[in-house]
Amino acid sequence: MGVYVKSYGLTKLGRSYFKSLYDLVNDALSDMDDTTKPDLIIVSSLFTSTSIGQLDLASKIAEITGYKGVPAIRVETGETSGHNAVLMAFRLLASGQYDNILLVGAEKTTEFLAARMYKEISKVFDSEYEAYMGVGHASLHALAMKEYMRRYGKTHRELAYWPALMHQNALNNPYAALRFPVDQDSVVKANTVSDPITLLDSYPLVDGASTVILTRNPNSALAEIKYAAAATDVMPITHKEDILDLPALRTVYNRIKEESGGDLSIDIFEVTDQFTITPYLIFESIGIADKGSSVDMVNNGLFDRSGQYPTNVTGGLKARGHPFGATGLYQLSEIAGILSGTFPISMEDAKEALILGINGLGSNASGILVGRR
Amino acid sequence: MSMEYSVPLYWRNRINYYRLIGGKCKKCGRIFFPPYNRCPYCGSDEIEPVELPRTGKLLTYTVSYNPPEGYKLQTPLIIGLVDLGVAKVVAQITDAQPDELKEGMDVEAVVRRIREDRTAGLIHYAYKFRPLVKQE
Amino acid sequence: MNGLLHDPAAIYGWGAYIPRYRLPMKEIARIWGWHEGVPSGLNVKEKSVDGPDEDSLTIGLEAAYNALKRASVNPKEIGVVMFGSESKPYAVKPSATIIAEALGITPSTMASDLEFACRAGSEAFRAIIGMTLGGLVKYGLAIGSDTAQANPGDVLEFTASSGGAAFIIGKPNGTEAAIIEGSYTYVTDTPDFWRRALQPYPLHGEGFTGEPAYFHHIENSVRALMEMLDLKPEDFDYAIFHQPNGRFPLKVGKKLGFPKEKILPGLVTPFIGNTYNGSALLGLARVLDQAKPGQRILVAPFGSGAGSDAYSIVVMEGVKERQQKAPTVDDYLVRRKEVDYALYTKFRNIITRIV
Repeated sequence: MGVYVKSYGLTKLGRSYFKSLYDLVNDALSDMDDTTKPDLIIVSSLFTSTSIGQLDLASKIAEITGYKGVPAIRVETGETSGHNAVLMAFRLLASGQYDNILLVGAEKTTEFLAARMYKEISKVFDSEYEAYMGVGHASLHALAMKEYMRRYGKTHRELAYWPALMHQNALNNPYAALRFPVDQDSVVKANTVSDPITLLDSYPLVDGASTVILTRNPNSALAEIKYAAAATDVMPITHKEDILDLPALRTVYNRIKEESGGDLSIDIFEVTDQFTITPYLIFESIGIADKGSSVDMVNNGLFDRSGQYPTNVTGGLKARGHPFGATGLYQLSEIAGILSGTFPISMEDAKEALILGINGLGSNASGILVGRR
Repeated sequence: MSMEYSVPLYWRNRINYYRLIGGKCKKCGRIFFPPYNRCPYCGSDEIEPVELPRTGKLLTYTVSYNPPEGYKLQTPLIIGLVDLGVAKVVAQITDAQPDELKEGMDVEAVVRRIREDRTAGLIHYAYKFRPLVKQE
Repeated sequence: MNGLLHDPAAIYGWGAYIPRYRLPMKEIARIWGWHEGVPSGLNVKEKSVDGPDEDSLTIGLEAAYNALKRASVNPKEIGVVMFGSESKPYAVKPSATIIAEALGITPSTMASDLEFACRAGSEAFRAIIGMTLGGLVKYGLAIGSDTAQANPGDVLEFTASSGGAAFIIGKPNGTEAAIIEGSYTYVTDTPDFWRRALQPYPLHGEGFTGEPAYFHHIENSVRALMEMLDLKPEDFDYAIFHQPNGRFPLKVGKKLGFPKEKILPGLVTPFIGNTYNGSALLGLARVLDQAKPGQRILVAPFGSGAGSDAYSIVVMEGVKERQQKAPTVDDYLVRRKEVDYALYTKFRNIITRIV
């Protein structure tokens, strides 16, 4: 029994000071323009208990979306919250327990000053031993980036091909937060956040909401969820055997591959590129690039839209933005839109797409295989 | 509100924070930090506390100019990955300017102020690492 | 004088700590418009400044850690931890328990913070001599540590600095680093320097801190001790006095008959300023770092309010194996990083911020 993306809605990512989280959810619903009544609502959001001070957010979302009475739950697995919301919906629909599930991903990251938000975000790492020390989101990625550059002899400028590519890709995405081109030199020369990571190596803090209806009904569906998988790994980076390796994500990738009969033919990759270093770790951990070789592959254009592995064709977390709880649903919405020809960016021959997400440096990992209808 | 942080939570961790206590797996023998209730490598729940060596090598470090709220006095904050031989630790590097640090240099553990709970709450102390004062 | 002779007590370990940052005197003169002759008259070049993550507790803890390394005693055999400071991080909540916990001394121990201006650490030292000799505890840890405060612009600001020293004391067993052969304390109500509750900085009586306070108390304690033990200045190889500046110790030494050469080895204030509860005890630590078995040391701390202790200490064979077991005072003296007045105010949290 199949699971399908029936519809999706998005808001333009950015600093939405004039809009509340609920306004954004309503805007996404309007953008989705689908009145199919869900029999379950799954909300994905990380920071709302702090940013807007609301618990049981799911019930409030049910009420403001007009679905009072429908059961509603919230999932939180850090930066993979959206991905795991999809995974849960996929399993519940596939098992026949529900017919239509409304996924709502929403995040407000601009309600407080940036330093306060950085403190909240640092809790995606071990809060008693990493966040406690003042280790911010960028700092652990910075340690990984420095180690990568040292181990494989790569320069910051070489790695900066990625953010430049993401800014290029976001130019055509009307929902993206950063729609301006940057070159590799300006990435390297931008203000340092946590060396070597600069401001242009990092995702922007944005507000946004995305809604998706997943259904068992194949009629008029936009795309098919072919499989979804998730896995966990150790939380503190000091428990990892290698800070450059993401074993949980490899497990996810291999499971999806097995489910597809051992052969994957991915036309579009969509990965969480929180910082410049992250996509390289992802490509090398799942094995589409050998250790230390992904930087050359990226610099040779293999991950460009026209390359062998088109990735983050809508701009990635880097340029589209990283609305945390909503990120996974932005990825799914855009992919479903591209595969169905309903998104402003088109990839006509694309039949299959793989969404991959990690929390922190890989403590939680998930993947969603999406196919064209 | 007078306090932001949990007093019991800090109190329960204090020995690990002051004395750098890691976990040692009785089954596979591996030592890890921070100490968890279960071995991250073999999954055994037979974990005993073990005091880690106080000197090690600075594997790599990053200078953070935009740290999370509450660390402004110590900004730029230097975060290091330290190899103690038996286990690795992520910690602040103190008593050093960024240009005084080198990957691979010897560092030693000290106990310092990590953060304060507002103006009247607890002062949180824990391990940090600094360049070795005296070669052994 | 009614001093009591007591059995000899022993020093098993000593430890020092000095923060790495230094503020040159000329920086303070530049900011507050002092004539350059004022700091040079104090015989102090620069003062030690605690880093932004340090306080008297972390300073005392590192000194105590070094003392424990030298003593090589089981921390569980330490039955009392006394922390002398006038700049405790908590007004209420013992620093001594945190230090005892961090060193693995808890829970079978006494622990308390003492306050007596600059001589609380010395009071701890002498009280622990009594506790160990009386059999109440096997070993005791005495700590003197400060991040001394001074009203910005006050002459005190030139010297008020940061540092600490710690000692592990017990009954002699033949392996000790030194023997404390006698001690004496002289105390009166003399208000030369004080800090009222909830006030950030102390006030002082300028010249009044000298003759009736520093000199009167130290001279009396040292004379009483020498009389008790039937010792003369010539019997001592080193003399260490409380060192609020670089001049007073030399002057009081001269009055008591101790030549400059015996005072200079234990005089650290010219390099780091007055570390208050560290002061004379840091001087003792520096002398123990270099002393030879058989040498005799006079130590006379002073605290405003006012009081002075005097100790006669004889160096033993056990000193040699301990001298290199931990960083010496000189290791910390050469570890220096100059800061300007702006960084000093940031590190010392003198700049008012909303947090």
